[in-house]
Amino acid sequence: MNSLYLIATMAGEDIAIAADKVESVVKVRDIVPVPSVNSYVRGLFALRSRVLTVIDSSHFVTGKPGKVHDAHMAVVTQVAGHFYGLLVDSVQDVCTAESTESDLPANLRGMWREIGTAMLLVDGKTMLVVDPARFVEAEFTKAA
Amino acid sequence: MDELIQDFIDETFETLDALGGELVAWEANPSDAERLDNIFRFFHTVKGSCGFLNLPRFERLSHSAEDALSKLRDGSLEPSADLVTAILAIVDRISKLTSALSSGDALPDGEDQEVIVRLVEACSGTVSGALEKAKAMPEPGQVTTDSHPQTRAIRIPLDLIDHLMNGVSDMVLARNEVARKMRDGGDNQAMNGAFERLSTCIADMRDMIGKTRMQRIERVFSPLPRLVRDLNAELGKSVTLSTNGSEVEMDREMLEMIRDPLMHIIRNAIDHGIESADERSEAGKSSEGHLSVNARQSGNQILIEIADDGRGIDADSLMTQAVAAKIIRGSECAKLDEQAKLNLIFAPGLSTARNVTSISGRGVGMDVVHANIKRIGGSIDIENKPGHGLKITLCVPLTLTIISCLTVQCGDSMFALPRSAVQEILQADNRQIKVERLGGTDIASIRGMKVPHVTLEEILGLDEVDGGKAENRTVIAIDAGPKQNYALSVASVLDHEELVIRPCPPLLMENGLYAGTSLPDNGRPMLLLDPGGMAAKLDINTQAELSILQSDDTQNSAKDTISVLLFKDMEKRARVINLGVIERVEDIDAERVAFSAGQMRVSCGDGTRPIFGLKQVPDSENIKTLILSDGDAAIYYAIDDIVDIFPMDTEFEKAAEPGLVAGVTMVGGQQAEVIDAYWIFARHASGSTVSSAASRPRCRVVGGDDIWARHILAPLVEAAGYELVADGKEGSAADIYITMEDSNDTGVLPAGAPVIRLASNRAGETETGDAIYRYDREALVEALSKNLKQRKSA
Repeated sequence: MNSLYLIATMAGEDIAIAADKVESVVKVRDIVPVPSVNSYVRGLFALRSRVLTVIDSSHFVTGKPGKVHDAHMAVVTQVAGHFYGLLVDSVQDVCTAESTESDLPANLRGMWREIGTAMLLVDGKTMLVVDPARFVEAEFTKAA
Repeated sequence: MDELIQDFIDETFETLDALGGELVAWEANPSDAERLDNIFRFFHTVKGSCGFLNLPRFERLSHSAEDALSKLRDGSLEPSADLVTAILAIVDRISKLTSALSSGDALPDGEDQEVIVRLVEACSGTVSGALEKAKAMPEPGQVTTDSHPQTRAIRIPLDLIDHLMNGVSDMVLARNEVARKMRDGGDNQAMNGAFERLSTCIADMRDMIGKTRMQRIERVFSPLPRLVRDLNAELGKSVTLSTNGSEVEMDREMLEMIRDPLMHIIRNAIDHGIESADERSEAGKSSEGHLSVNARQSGNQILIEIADDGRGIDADSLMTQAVAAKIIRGSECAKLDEQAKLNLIFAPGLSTARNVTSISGRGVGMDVVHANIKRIGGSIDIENKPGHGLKITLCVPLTLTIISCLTVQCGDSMFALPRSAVQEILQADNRQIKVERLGGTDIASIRGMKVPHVTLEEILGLDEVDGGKAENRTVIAIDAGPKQNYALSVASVLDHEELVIRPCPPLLMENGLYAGTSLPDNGRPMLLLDPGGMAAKLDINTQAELSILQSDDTQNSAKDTISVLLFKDMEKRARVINLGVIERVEDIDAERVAFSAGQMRVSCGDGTRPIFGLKQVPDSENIKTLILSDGDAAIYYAIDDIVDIFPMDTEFEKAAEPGLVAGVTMVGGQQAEVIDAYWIFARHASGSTVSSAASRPRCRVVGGDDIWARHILAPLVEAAGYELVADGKEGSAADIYITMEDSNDTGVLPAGAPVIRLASNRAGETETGDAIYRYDREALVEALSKNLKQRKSA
């Protein structure tokens, strides 16, 4: 198995995102807030001519607003034609997985269960594989 | 290979739509060999490609059609309605097969054979029954479509164009950033020139890329002949179609959006707009109905008119149905004007069709059409001529992506508001608007119209506005749709600009408040507000009562106040005058003013008009004047300056005696005299030259065409309000006659006409009793005016 994963820290935990789901990693600043939407939607950010919807992933997972500093790192991903930026604490590296994706234990806490799809061995550590689309779609199914 | 098949599918789809139209057009005019060649060529191409791509079923179908067409070409076969129907069936079959091919589904084989057999039968003419059936069918409609020469083109994936567009947008933003940096960095002539050139290139590029999204409306028009033909056959009607303006271009997404509404309106028009042939001849119309579809561009909008010559809409029956369907209440009916009645057709659940057919009249329809058009920022206009037809005009913006917007400030952010929903922008401290608290919500009265009032901060759930600044805010009157009017208060309106709008991610759409995102030139993303969504959040579409209330209220408020002009007269006294009597304000040359014939006058062309408010001709070159008019006479009023316009209470303190000043009112703590316009006209208008001579009664002096009558009597008669007509002219009948007592011309006087006799001396007056001494001015004027009064009361 030689698929590539982006390793990032989200809500204090190292996670892996399949590299083919990542458009780029950018530093966001000057986020324009969007009133009257889900509180984990941080606002809008212009990445050149694209408008990203910035999602506070830490808030999504923990339910508490994360601290956003200037030039915060964000993972840019595209879901159904729209661009999103997932705020992460930091971005480590892009690595090749040492194992295939395997099923998750059933006792994941809270929203981790919503965003995690599998677990994986990277660099000798077991990590949660996070699907960025779940941040957008989880809420969708909840609302429906 | 896959790519080749995809190309084949795209190409086939594209031509299929147009082909139906070509076939119908050819059927109407079988001698048009060029059209027949076009059709033939299509089947030939399909056949060729199929053989190459190994698609035997396509090959069989197109081969049979080609066969029939070649027989038609060499004249060995006569065209018939049946034959065309059979060929159209082949076209349909090919279309179905193509979609199956592109989706990868399997399609049963059996029907292929069926349509081929039908075509062969139609060709051989063996089925006499079919021919008779063809005769029973209505005559095929005459179709006129304009055709265009093909331009050279290549096929480009939509993705690539979108990427290009993004690239160009990036370039524009980068250019803006460079421009900012250059401004900060001071002047550099050489740089500026080069930068200007770059800017122009980028702007051009942006325009051109925009054009790649445009497509001819032909794409939507070309299947119409086929649709009309099918409907004719199905409904047993005979309707001809003409289309115009198919070269008009619009955004491809927009085209898709109007396709269904357009089809729906056409179905409606043929199904229940246009009457059956019998009904038509009874109504004295030609038995063949006509439908015309025209497109044209008007500014940045596209107008599509669909006009039929059918029975139109019976507005009253529509209203009755609306009441029956509980869309409106009976009590509301009387308040609806003609247009409001017609607009009921857009109400959900209403159908004008007497019978529900498979084609239309199921009560879903016009409301959906209306909603769809409204959603893309368009509007629908209905022009109804009962008994003679209906014209529906769809008015849609040129593109979906560029919307004319107002940008407004809310907190630290900017939001865009589509201009199409904005009715009016008012300052909150304007006297025309009043906000009242009612049952926990705010109601705004704008010129007597009562609408819900809400702040943008409240809708967006932001912190309450700082109360002290309320009068600095701006109120926007919004019309988001029928019964969706409200007043939106924003901190300020910043600008009016054309914005490129992108769709909003679903995450932001959930609350219904936003319709899209935009990236203005400053590089900060901005959200486009959805006026309809905001109305829904306010829950105002249930407030039908409010709109009823407003019409009464308008009348009341009109009674209470009048608009007046506050000005300073020549002595710098504050005065107000009803705005309605002011025709215009004009600076006149002081030389035109002179004191003559007892009053100040202004020369105007050949005559003069009275001017008042002036004691003497001032030293200044110009005099500012108000020109007052009662619709007939005009009077100048010299003033010092204009101060303001405001609504004044009709109740004010009256002056003790009638005169130029009717009373006094308070303006901002100062007294201002209220000018009585009636008094001005009563005083000055009689001498004005404006009242036309023709409208005055005529007075004829019989036998008195001498110097005395013309020069001495005439001014008196005219001053009394008569027009003097020359004596001696045949047929110069008059309303009153003046005759000299000693003249012998009494024979010309018509019997019963009022006559005043004049005596040349005091003695004559006493001799006959009814004559008036010719220098008895008072008696003469009284006689004339007595007659005038009698005429008026008669």
